[in-house]
Amino acid sequence: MNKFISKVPLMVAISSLAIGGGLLVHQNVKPFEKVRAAVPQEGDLYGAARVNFKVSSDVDTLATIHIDPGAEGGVSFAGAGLYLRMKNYTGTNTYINTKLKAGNGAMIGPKQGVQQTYYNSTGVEVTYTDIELRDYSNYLILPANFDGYVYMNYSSQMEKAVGSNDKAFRYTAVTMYFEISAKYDTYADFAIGDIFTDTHSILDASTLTVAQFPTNFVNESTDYLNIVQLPRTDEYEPKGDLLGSVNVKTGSAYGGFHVLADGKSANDGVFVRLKNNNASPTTMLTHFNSRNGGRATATANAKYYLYNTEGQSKTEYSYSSEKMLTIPASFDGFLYLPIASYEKNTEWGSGADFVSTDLYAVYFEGVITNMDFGDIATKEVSIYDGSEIYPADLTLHFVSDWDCTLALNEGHAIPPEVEFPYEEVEYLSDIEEGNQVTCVRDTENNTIATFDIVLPQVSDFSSALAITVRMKAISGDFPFFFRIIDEDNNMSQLASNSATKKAKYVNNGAIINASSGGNDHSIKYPNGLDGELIIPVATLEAYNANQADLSKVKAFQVGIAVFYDYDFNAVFGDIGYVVEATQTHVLVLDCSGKSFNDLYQKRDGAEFLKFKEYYSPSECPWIGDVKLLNPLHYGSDAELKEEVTWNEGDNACSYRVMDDGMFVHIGPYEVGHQYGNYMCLQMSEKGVYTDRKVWSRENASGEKELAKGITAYVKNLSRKEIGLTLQIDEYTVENTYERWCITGYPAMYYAWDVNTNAEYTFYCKSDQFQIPVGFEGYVRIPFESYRVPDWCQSTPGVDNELDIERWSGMFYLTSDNTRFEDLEYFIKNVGVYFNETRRGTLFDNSNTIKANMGL
Amino acid sequence: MKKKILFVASLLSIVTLVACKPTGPSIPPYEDGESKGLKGTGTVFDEVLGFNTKDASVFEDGDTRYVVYASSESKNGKQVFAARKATKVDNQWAYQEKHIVFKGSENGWDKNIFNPSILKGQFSYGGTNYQYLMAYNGNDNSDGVNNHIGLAVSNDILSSWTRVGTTPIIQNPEIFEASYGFGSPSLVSYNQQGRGYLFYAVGEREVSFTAVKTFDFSDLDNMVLEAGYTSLPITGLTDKVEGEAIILNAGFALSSDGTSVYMVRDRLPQSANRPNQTTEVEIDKANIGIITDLGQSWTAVDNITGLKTIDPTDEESLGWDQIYSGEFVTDPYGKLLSSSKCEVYYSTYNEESTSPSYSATLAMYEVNL
Repeated sequence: MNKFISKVPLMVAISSLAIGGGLLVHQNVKPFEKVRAAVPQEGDLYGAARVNFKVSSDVDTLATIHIDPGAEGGVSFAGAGLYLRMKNYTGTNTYINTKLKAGNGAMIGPKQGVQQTYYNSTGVEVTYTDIELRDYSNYLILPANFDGYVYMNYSSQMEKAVGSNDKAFRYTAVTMYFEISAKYDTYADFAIGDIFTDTHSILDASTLTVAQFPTNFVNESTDYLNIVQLPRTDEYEPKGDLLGSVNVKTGSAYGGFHVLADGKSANDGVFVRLKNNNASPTTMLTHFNSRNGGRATATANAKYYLYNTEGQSKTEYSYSSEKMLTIPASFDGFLYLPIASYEKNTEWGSGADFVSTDLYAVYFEGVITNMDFGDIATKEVSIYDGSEIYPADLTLHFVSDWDCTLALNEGHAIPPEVEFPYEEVEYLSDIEEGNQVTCVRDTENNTIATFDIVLPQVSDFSSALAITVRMKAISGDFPFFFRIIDEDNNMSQLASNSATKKAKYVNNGAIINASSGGNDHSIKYPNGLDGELIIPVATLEAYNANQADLSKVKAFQVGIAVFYDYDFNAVFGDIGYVVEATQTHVLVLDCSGKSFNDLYQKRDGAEFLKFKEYYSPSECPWIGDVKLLNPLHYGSDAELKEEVTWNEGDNACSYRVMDDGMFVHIGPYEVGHQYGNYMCLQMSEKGVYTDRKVWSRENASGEKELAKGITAYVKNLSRKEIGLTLQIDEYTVENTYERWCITGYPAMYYAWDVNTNAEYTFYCKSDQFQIPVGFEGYVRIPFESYRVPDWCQSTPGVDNELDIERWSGMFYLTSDNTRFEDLEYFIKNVGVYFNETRRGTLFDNSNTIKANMGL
Repeated sequence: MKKKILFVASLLSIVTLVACKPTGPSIPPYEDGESKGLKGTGTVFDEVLGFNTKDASVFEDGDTRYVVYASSESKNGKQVFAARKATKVDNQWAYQEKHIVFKGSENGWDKNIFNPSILKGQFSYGGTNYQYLMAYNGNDNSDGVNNHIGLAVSNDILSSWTRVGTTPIIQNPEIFEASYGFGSPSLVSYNQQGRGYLFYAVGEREVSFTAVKTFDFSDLDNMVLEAGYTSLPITGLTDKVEGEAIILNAGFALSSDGTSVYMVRDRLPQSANRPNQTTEVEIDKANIGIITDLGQSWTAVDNITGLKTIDPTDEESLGWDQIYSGEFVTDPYGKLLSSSKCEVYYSTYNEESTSPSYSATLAMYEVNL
């Protein structure tokens, strides 16, 4: 997973608050020209990327594009601030989670709760007063119908982005990320054009060629997003290709054909994508016919135009006195036939006037030795798109008039796609006792951490339609390179980013197209997916001199760019292949019973990785009526710190394994850390329990029973009372997090001291429960003692109604550093409890903590 | 039977007049001296200015009513516990002479004693069986802080009581010694023998509340007092000031069927007039489960305000200015005598009371349950 995505717990875009245009209150203040007098260029939207949604997602996911000026040489972002030429095509405020990610992984983004500065398209500052800001994540806000410049001062309007590492942001090798919710914010429709600082240009979109555009504006979510380049000039730039083009040959004789237009309007003229396969120029006579029989023929000495393959470099030509046009030798590009250059021809046809808005056909004739005719279109409509037809349908579009052979270029034509039904194959593999790979640290260097999965013996995959790898991404998307190594050390890899999309994932009988891992030849295994990675053999190409010989495969190699991707936890299980003819699966590598050393070999950069044997996740353990969600039992500090994280400063909190739980030392208050004067340990959702989010059980009557509160085993290791919170996040239907914290007095909780056998009910103090001096035992905090804190009330989706079946998976352990500095406690067995609970007395010990837990 | 815990006070305005149920003294003052100038109804018995009658613990045993209360050993003298018994004369309780029954120790933890609470049962101590148990709080300082709770036993309420041990049963820890500590004990029997509930107030540095422990005092030489406790929930309660309610200075009783807990508590704020007690007590009811279950809540039953203590037959009557430290009249084991009504004894002060002659007066009010 990319770094910035991996640590953004509260980052979401919500449509409900995005509705409504910002109120423009005044203009003519701070002329833009004065503000950025030193800017060497004016910005514009020529060549800009227009972004909108194809489809929305049923599940909550983010659609992402990134802009990578570095792809063209790595332009510095240095300056006082950043200008973006942008346009919002909708009447709705649009919230775009925006990050600048430097080469060292550090990220900055729009400052939370701070509005950007806006200028209209003429450079006059405009102010909006009713835009609702967000105090979480890093949102760039495009006001409704905005068309102008968004400015963000690096110092006052940007800040360290949520999810950034702790490194200083560097203004080189910067990539900009824009994220929009594919579930909630699919109304978004905006353009991003030129980018510059107050001192220099970063990206002039109008200079991007068709080939350069997708490497500068990268669509990471092609399943959801459309990204198209706006015209680079005021001039129209034709678009089209030779996919499904028609090869025309008249031989040495004069011949002719026509392309049917079905009554479409010719508008200003017709563009023809063509390629002259002849080394000599080709001369043609052209006509238009309308459906009333009227005909128009080129006017002698009138103009026609040729464009290059990218629709640029428009060159003017003149028809000959014989009304002929000439296609240069080996020309590859667009021919433009302006209607204005044609005149009524009464020599043929019905004699009626030509009606350009009701086009019947376009006629070509001449000695056409060998020419490919591809897409034909006006500025408005397509007349012929070869990528959409099948060979049998050619005559529905192209008609030979005389002495002309027409052949659909099969190499270009798109045959009917028949997907192999990978989802119907019965896979023999599993993931049990596979290899679990996690990253233990990232690096400043562009290191590819690599390891091999070595087969017990050289194996034959030559019958494979596709190689299969049983995988699971426990947490975080997992981008990686995958290579096949043969006995002679020849290696194959995924052919390219586009080829990786031909790879598939199969999960529970469903098939999903794979996506790129972000680096060429890489693939991304999605977070949470538990299934088969399908790599069709056809997608492979040579990594070194020769492709691997699949008849003698000895190993597979996995590489991870730990410079970019370090927040993952993935498992490799059994490996096999699919046989096309029989639609069967052949298991080659069964991980069961084999140790890491049997199967895996560390290579370069493996010190950044941690490997451990993987066993299938189990359900949460129970102690009586307590479902343990985080027992906090870890074999080592490293394992502990995979699950429980602390990212703020060095001293405000330290923790480690202690006995069968976790020891926590509350350090001094550190100015400026994220959670104010509270240290905060986050217990993540990386846990291996499959049902930890299920906070219900079936009671004795077979009815569903919800948990009643949070419990934990705590021990005060100091001589002062310690205040501690156990906060939880509810994942709202609005795609946000509703934080629930313990309230102060008169909220209450149960406690049972295991040493004295004393039972208590205590009041909470200062929004925390207390671990009294000398106390060791279990506490139970009823959900009634939780509420949503004031600071979370403005979060969209917050309804102050606890839905415990929507727990996000996150616990937060916090303590006030200013009050509890240098105190220490022990904690384990964090969970939820279900039974009615009472404090035990001398007269009644039913339903006590002890009794409920069977201790 | 309770002692105040200081809080910020505010002034209550009395604006209306309502009916009340007056009662009156039946026995002449014990001492000679100036009358306290009684302003409200319900005075249980009168003593002269300079002698407190407050913090009562009272129960009926057969046709006799006993009251143990905090009084003064001499005019404006050191506080002691006194006791009286009453029998009915003309359908009114006629209290008899006052007996000084318990004094603070000379050098022990309980030089100063407060808030007696008495209970009938079966208690043995030092080889002797006793019928009556008393809980009280005390301290050894003049600041009213660092209170602890101790016990005494007797076979005759009106004679002297025997102190149980030389140390308190609930001791304020050193870390809280600058705070109020523990006080206002209120005993309720569980089995009419040696088991029961001990309610008491806790005044820590950050939180003040009322807790309850269970005990088995059948053998006071080997007494069993549970280490844990319930901090009583305040769900359902309100005070007259903004913020969350607090249970303080409260008396407790069980309903006659034992299924409910009744509480009479000082309802904040305290009066701006010295000696700064509350101007109202509130009677609340909860399921007995509130002793162990955080899910239970209180329901307000009635309250006693100055307005309700105006004597409608006396046009100069203004009602009591300060009303605090309530306690139920129960059977000898802490159960109410009826399911439909009960009597509450409470302490009062007159507005005219001036230091050092603050002389609290016991008054009674009948509550419909």
